[in-house]
Amino acid sequence: MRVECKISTAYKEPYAVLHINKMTGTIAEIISMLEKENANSPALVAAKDKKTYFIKPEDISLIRAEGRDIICYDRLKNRYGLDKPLYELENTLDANFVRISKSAIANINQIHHVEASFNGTMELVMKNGITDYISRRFRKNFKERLGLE
Amino acid sequence: MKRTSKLIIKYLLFGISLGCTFFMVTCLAFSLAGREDILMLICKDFARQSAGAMLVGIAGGGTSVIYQFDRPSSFSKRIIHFCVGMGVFYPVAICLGWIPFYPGNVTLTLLQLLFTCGIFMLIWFCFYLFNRSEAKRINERLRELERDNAGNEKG
Repeated sequence: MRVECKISTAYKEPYAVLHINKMTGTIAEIISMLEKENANSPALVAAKDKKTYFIKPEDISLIRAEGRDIICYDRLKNRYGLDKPLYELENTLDANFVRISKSAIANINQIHHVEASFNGTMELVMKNGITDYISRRFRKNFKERLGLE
Repeated sequence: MKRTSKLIIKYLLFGISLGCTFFMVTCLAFSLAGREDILMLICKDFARQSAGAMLVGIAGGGTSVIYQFDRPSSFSKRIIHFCVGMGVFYPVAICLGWIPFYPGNVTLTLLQLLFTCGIFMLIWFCFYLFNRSEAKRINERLRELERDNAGNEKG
């Protein structure tokens, strides 16, 4: 299928028009994915100091596995525990989130910069100062999400 | 598990192709330099020479598959990659006559080892430069996205 994509800051809200002669499973899946884009992801239920909090996805900086726990860091570097596995969170969160390694998901809007390392991985520095790394396995996907591949 | 096996096979083939490419480029360089005498030596021992090149390719390039895994730590990965790479390259290179060997002369042997390590470090440094330029591209894109987001928020 020929795909045309126009990128411009003039579009305040993204929209897509598909010219098709019949609906197929793949197209239905694509439509469903596109509809999720920019849709508000539900707040995550997180725990800290035996209290439960609802964190808006836009406030989340990084989610990663630390030992057996899934930990979420917000913009202010507050640390919360989550009770969902990473793969489930990856499906729940919107397009602003990207998997950077087997054990971490980052909010693209909260990334400050990346740094090269000698071993082929890239260090990710979040705006709140937390660092993690983008493994080589997920680098391609990361670049695709940024529109670089 | 299936994905891991596929990844290992992919890197194994990458290592072989890397070794073969180096082998071909070296032969080409000798040919262009008019060193048919060296090419004749390689041809006479072609099976061993090409197998050696592939083996070194696997040890140096193929073992970089380790960076695809989350464990062990980054430092350990570097050490494993370096040790396997050097551990295979050095004996193969001596055995196939790629580098001279000075039995009994500790100073020369050490200097040679240091030189080989230097080449390995140089290759690493080249990869670092490549990663650095990629990081620069990513950072530029991140700034662009940030500007777009700021513009959209104002709008």
